[in-house]
Amino acid sequence: MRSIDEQLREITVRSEEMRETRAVRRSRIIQCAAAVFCLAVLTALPALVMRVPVAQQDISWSEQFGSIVIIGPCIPYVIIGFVAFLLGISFTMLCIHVQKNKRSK
Amino acid sequence: MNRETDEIIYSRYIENRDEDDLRTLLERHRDSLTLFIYGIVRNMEDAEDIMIGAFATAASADSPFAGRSSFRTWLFGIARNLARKHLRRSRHIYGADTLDTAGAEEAEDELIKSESRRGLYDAMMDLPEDYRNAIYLAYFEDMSHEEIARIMHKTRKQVYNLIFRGKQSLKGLLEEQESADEKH
Repeated sequence: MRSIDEQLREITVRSEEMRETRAVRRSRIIQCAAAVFCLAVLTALPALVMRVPVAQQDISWSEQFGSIVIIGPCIPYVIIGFVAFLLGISFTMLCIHVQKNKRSK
Repeated sequence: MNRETDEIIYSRYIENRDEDDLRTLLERHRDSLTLFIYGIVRNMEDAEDIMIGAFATAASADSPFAGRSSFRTWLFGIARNLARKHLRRSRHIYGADTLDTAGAEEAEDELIKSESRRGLYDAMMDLPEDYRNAIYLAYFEDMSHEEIARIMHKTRKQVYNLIFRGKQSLKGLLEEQESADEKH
């Protein structure tokens, strides 16, 4: 059996590795949750806006939501906005990844 | 001088990360924990490695100990889970138990000082794993049935039955050994 000092050293090294792994996993979960939340807000916001009743119109709120998102002259803006959002997330995550690599080196 | 409890030392270690506290806990429990794990994995090198893994898991916690059980029970529970995971992995890779008897005798000499306990421990190696673990924890570690139940994920009634049946089997084994020794 190894001496107590060797065992203690090994325990310290392994416990540090475990804590680092846990911290990385935690930050990844937070990043994913934030991205999903933003997507949900982006998708739900037009629907929430359209719940404000438009007087004297016999159109359901889902149809109005559809008209904002899918039909009509707004669609290019919606697509551009969505793509810009995705690009923003990808670019941010790339920068974080590069920074982590630099730090680990 | 009042001996500090494991829970106090462990909580202090988590707050201050002072290696002396971890060393105290290691000195108190490493031998018994290694023997317990050896009873499961039957290989002294692996047992030592798993013991270090169990301590590392405990040391990597972020918050002070506030468990329902004692620190020792918790630590033995972690060790048992790691040992069983190791067994499953090694059976899957190697397809057989990796029994190591050569290194084990030396290490047992180091860890079990009393000759009578040594004889009992050797006889216990022939028992099924659950009987062996229950008897070891009850008689070598002086743990209560409740603590053993927490470690082994069983009910108190099951632990009681394991110890009872284990003692019966052990008695038979020791009697066989005695009669074999007498013939020689």
